Amino acid sequence: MGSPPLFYRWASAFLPWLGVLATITFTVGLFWGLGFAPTDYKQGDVYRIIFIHVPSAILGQSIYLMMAVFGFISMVWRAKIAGMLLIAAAPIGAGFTLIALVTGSIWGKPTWGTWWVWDARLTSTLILFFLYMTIIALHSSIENKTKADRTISILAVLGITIVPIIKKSVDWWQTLHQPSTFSLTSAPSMTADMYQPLLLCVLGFYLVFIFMLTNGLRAEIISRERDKNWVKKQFLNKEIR
Amino acid sequence: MIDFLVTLYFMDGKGPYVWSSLIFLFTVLGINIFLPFRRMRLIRIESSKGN
Repeated sequence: MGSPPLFYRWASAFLPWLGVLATITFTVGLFWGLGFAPTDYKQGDVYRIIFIHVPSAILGQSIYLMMAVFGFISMVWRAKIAGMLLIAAAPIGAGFTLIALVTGSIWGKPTWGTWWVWDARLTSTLILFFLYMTIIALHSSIENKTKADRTISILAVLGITIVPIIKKSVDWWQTLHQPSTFSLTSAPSMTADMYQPLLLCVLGFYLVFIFMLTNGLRAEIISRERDKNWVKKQFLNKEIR
Repeated sequence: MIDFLVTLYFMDGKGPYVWSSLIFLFTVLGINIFLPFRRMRLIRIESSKGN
């Protein structure tokens, strides 16, 4: 799977099926959460933003973790595909982090009475968003893509410190933000009929992410290898002389 | 029907917050899905012009 032509062939065959599965899971999860989950006794219906906000925040952080792993692989083993995966994942991670920030802000207005506070969870998530943007800008500013991959790999690995800070910010500092919704050590604080659609939404968001990553990686491979014979043959349908 | 849509939109009065979050989600995801397809299409167009 480390070879770009092999990955491209595999991804092209797999992408439509992944798209169908992701659309079904994502749609059912959102329908269940936004339309059928019970209303919260304290916050009312505005709590339904949780079905968008929490999966996006989880994705924003886990995509960065994944990018750091790709960065490490790219630095140590010089695997070309790892560098491509890293830069293909960056705009998706930035998108999910932005969704988490904006939906959190929209949720904050009716519940906290303000769109934004400089509290630890919000500020650290904003830093994560800036990190994503720095990686994207840095990569596009370096002409030589091998060098660009190496540079953003270092940044991705160094930047990993932000993820535990975001995760623990609600425990380490006094914040307006509620404690983590998901915990491996304690039982969920929500009832099952709210928790189940939330889990389905998380799964649906992950599938959508895998779909977008596969698609983004195809574009990255084609863009970098456009002069290679296999791209001309498979993608551009040209005769090779 | 109109009553149902109005209830669905406003929910308990805070529905617009929920729907605007959903619209923002679809906008960002839509851009992220559309851009790689556009990038590949441009490469194909560029390559056919080069012939």
